[in-house]
Amino acid sequence: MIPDWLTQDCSSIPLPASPHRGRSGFVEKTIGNAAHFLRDTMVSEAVARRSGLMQALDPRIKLITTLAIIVSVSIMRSPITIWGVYVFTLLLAVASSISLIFFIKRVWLFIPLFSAVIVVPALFNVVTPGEPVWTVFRLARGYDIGPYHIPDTIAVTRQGVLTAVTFIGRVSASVSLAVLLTLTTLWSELLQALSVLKVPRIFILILGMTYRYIILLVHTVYDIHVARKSRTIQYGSTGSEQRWVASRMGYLLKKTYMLSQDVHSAMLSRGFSGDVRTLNASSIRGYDYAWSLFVLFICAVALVADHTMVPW
Amino acid sequence: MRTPLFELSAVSYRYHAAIPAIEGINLSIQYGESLAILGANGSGKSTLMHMLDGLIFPTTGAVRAFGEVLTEDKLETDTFRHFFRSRVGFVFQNPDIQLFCPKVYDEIAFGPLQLGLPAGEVMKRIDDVLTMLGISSLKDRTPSQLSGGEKKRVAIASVLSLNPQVLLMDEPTSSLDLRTRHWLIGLVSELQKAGKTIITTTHDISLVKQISSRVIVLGEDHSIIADGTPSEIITDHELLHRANIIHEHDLDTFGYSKETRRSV
Repeated sequence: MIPDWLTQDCSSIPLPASPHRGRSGFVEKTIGNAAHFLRDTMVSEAVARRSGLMQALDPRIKLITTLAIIVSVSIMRSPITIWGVYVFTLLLAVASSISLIFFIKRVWLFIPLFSAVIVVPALFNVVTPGEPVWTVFRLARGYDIGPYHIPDTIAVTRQGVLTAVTFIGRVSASVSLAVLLTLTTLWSELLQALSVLKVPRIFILILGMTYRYIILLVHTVYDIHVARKSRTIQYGSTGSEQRWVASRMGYLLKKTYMLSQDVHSAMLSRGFSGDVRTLNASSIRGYDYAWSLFVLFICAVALVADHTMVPW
Repeated sequence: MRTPLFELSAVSYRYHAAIPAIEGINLSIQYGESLAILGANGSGKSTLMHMLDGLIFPTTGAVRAFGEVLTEDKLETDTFRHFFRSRVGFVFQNPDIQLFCPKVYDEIAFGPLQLGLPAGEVMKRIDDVLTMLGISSLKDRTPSQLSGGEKKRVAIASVLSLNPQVLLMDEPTSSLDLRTRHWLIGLVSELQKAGKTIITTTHDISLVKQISSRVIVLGEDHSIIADGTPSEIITDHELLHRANIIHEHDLDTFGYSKETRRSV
């Protein structure tokens, strides 16, 4: 019944002579990133379950007060008050049992990426005219290109530096607040808190399900990859690798579609009729009111200070 | 005589109007019965369960539930949907399908909330079910933080919180470890004593005697080929072999006689 070749010892097959290393291409990297995503999710949940200043707050109050501070930062003009708010977020992180190094790394991972592209040109007198503080190079003469004037001396200006410092401060304070909110709040509670902003319940339900099933599908992708890796002896050509990835993407899309149908059946089975009903959230406590008043006070003081400072 | 709980008359279902899933099913299920649907993979067990739960509807024939013909239109009316969904609970084979809420607590609350129960009653039911199934410590977890056995418990809890009269369980013990399997058998037994109608699909004949008082066997032709007590069915080796539920190598395991083995 068993064919002869199945009874033979696999050691009879010659091994490749060259110690050539296989490629770990973009598939590996994508799977690696997916695994990072999962790990980050778990880390976020772990932080949200710790006891701390922000964790103790009602998610709705936390969301509203965080938005209030972000709005205040966006209308501040002085880099001193803006960076003051950034320092305030660091204090909040410490009071919320978050490692300062972890928090700073997490925030500053994004800031250079998004703000540097915007802010670097603003340093120069080409974009921000003003008092030069560092001359980069000189041209033979100035040029006029359309509405833009390029002066004969290209320099970093004092006004440009202040614009950049203000901009980066604003981005870092806002991103820090957003990261603080997501780190100290369970994702499910954060979604529920969106109802306070009048986000429709069906939208919140769909967001929650999306989050739930993305994690499930990432596991599926990982399983597919591992199952293939366990049988990969020789790497194929780039074209064949790409075809494989494309075919698995198609498979995953089909699986997702079937999953959505099954989940819809499971919802119908438990009485879902399109009208989403949720339990009323817990009542807001004295601690939450005290926090709201404190944030209101901080924002008011910071805004007044910002507007009374000598303009730069 | 009381109207049967479910009555299926000449029911057939085809996927994509071509692939047969069940063929010519005639079946009557009484209130309080414990029925096991036994069949090999692909025999149509899950399709039959979906039909009993009003999730799919016959290509030909009719399904009556609680004396009413079960149709898509009827289930779209608020009154009948509320009546039916509050009485029939379905535990899916794959708990990942059933656990679609972000947290265990929300999952168990989903059904009672959809039925419009007051918040106090919903919270009481959640706490009671969590305690009954020994999963109170899981209430704030997300589904991705649960093991396979825990997911199954939560899936059952999410259905029991509806307090259904009828519990449909599709392959409830598949991929469960022995301890969880025994826990589940104990739970089914308690629910039977509480007067619930329990309908279970399985291809595991060692399970049927423990969870049912009646067994129907679906053959590979997708029709019912036997209907009897667990003792009658599991001793009929020829039937089980024909239905592809046992293999001759299983005969020792299930203690069949030498004569039995020869006839197979």
